[in-house]
Amino acid sequence: MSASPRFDPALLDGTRITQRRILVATLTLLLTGPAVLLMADLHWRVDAMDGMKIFHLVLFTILFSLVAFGAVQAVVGFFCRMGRGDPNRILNSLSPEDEARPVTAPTAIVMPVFNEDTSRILEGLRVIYRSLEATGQLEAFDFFILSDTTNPNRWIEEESAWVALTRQLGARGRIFYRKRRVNLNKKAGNLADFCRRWGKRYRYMVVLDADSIMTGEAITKLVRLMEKNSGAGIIQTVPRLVNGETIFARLQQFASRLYGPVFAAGLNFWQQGEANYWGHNAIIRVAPFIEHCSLPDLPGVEPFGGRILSHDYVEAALMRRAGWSVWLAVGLEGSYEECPGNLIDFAKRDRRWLQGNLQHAWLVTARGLHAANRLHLALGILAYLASPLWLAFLIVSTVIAWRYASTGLTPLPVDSFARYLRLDFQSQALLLFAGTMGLLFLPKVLALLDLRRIPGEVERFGGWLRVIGGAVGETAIFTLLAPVLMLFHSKFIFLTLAGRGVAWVAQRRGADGDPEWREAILTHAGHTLFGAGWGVFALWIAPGFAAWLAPILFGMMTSIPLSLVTGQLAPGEFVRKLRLLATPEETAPPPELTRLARNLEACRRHTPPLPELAPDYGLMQAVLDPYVNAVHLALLRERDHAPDAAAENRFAPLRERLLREGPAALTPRDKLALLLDADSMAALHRDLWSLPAERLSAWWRTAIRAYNVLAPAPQTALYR
Amino acid sequence: MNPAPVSAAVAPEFAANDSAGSAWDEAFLRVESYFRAHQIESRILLNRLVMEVIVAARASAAAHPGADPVALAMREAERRTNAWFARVLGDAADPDDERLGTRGRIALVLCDVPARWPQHFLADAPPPPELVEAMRAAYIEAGPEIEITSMFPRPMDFGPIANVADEAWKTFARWPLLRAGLGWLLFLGLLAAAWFFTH
Repeated sequence: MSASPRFDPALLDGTRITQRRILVATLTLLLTGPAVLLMADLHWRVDAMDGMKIFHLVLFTILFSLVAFGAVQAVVGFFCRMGRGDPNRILNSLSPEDEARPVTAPTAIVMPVFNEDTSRILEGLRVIYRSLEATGQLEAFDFFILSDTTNPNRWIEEESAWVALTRQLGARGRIFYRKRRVNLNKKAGNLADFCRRWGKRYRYMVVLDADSIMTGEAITKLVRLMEKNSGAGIIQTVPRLVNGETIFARLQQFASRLYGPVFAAGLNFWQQGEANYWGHNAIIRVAPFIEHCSLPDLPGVEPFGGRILSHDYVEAALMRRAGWSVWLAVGLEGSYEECPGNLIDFAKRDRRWLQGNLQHAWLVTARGLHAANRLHLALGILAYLASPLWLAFLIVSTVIAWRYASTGLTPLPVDSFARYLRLDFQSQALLLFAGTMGLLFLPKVLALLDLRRIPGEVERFGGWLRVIGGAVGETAIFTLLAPVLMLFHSKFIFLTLAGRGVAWVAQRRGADGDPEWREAILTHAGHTLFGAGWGVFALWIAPGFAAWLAPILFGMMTSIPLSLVTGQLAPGEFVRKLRLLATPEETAPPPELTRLARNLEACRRHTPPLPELAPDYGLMQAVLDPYVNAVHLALLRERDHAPDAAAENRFAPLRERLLREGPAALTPRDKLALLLDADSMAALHRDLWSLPAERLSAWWRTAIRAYNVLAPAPQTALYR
Repeated sequence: MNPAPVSAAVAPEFAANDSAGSAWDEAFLRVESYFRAHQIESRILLNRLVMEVIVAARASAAAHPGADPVALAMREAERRTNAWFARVLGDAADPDDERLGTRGRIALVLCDVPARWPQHFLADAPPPPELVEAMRAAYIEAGPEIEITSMFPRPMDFGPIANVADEAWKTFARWPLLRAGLGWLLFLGLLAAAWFFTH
């Protein structure tokens, strides 16, 4: 598609964009209208319409229109990708001369982190750094690790690993580390903190997640796109999911890789310069971001009001309100991210996102926002609200069926009001079902057809047999998982509306471990019982009705084994060896991903700390290791203040207790407080090495013995 | 693990035949561990450095009657280390200044002195110029110079619906009885709806 004519977003005709949006809306309506008519007719044919049926029809209309909207996007996207592709893509704005021009705009690559795996964060950064270095454009870039980490072990690891990385790469003065003392406003606050301190120094910032990988080529292209398009405020890439090890992760990355391009092209078709920001793997023009995108507090209090939790959509809306465009960089290669490895972690992340999206209800009617942004916000809400609506739809369907069954009378269906259909009741119901299924599967079929367009792409997916097998398997497993997610989301919405907030929990990813039986049983026991109870009730109403509900109820009843098997590493490895659910990034990985895997493998070979020391290993190193202590002190002293007598009165007894009784005697809060106090860290290091053994706890004596000449060479992130 | 006694053949004056000797054994082990924590891996070098520290600490013990040998030895080890840092880094700071030790240790690890120039660590002889140059140029930089910018939210009108909802929210927050009453009403409404739809 590189031969497309050059595209200038500044000359974009508003009428053409409106025409595109009208087309999408019309197609959605054309699909939804007949389906609603058929459903209304079904209700009408069996007894008269009543309130319950009208409610059922309203739910059906909302849910079907969402399915139809998705299918239309895929259809539009499929046609957009034919031939030379949609000319209206931001990527087409670059000429070969633009691509050859050196990158001079000062750009910060910022990575907010929060208790994630330190090795993954730092090795990811190393790969990105090396990749940028290979482009020859490194001079324009600075890297920032913006840490909100609260786990002391992770925090100390981050500091040490950052020093080691800058030393190994010779990147002093290019890779920076900032740890906030107070995590005000979470991730959005972390980025705002960066903007307030250093934003003035940079024209652009590339925002990454802790698990993001971007190639140097992709980053430099983003900067060039910003330089070329002076009206662009944000350019969002379409990150590909990679490095999935479990079946659950592999399913997600396979589905997003196979169907994603078609959907993304469809999105770009109607969004154009009013696209969305997804929070990472995107480039932002810093000056307007500082000026216009600071987040307002919402009316009310958390969890529904107060501080905005899900910042990205709102920032895109504010950027648009200020007149800057937001683009989706469809077709840009080299942007990757990872995904949760199992259903429970996925649900945990969804709970956080759900609350953030529900908050957006306040903003849908806010004055000054563009219609497209209102639609983004509304679709974001509906993405989660669809679950309780679907649940309500199924419950109402059951009630209607039960109502007929409880009368003991045989329904006497009348003719359809559309008599020319000449369908009996069952056939009409089947037609409606087939239509719904057709719309759900249409994007998958189109994505498979789209594969033929790119030479060699099918082989990179493992061949036709595997790609079709993968699509069928993915469809089957997600059909079973979807009802479980429906129950999760419905519960989360109920809890949120009841005023129960969500904590900012870091999800477990990659090789951190398999889900535990206990966790899976406790989490899914309710789903299983709910499904079983509903199944018995449906059978009692009518076996035919139970058959209609079977895929949904079966998913609920098998949620425990399904969650476990799809979330464990061994089955994932088995599937990988069969080259099932493979993606081009797996069969022909880019050098950046290969390098990352190799580096992480090396990290895993490091000697782990003694089990008895492991829970407080970070604290131990910060106190005992002369180098780690020095780095920690130097970072604390950067913002040190005058000695405080009151603080000393608080910290002296804590230090004494820590040395005499060991870390277990202190609360996590006290340990964190000591780690934040430079004077205490200096005193602890000095006292610990100087006190005779009998005045130290057994834990510290064991820790000191780790440095004895008879022990293996000490391991810390600094010595990698 | 019990501290192993210092061999009398190596250091006859410290033979561990009494409790004081045992305390100096512990001091020896502690200083040895402390230097090993600096990544000094050569046993010969470690032994030499530790012996020098212990001999000096033992000599100073007379001036500090009752002082614990571990504390004396570690004070001596730290003093020597900081003095060496001051010499290499050309820093006129007080050798007891904690910041000198911090800077020195960071320079030590960043230049990989324990691996590249182990024999010069704490040596009396002048360090080689390349070591001095490397250590003086070694420091960590957590961030570029700060240029503070103000970033504050612009006013936002959430629109009439949100404003009404906000007012209602505040009212309910102020009147818990009203909130509970509405909850009861909603529950009764649901019951009524269930009755209506099922009959």
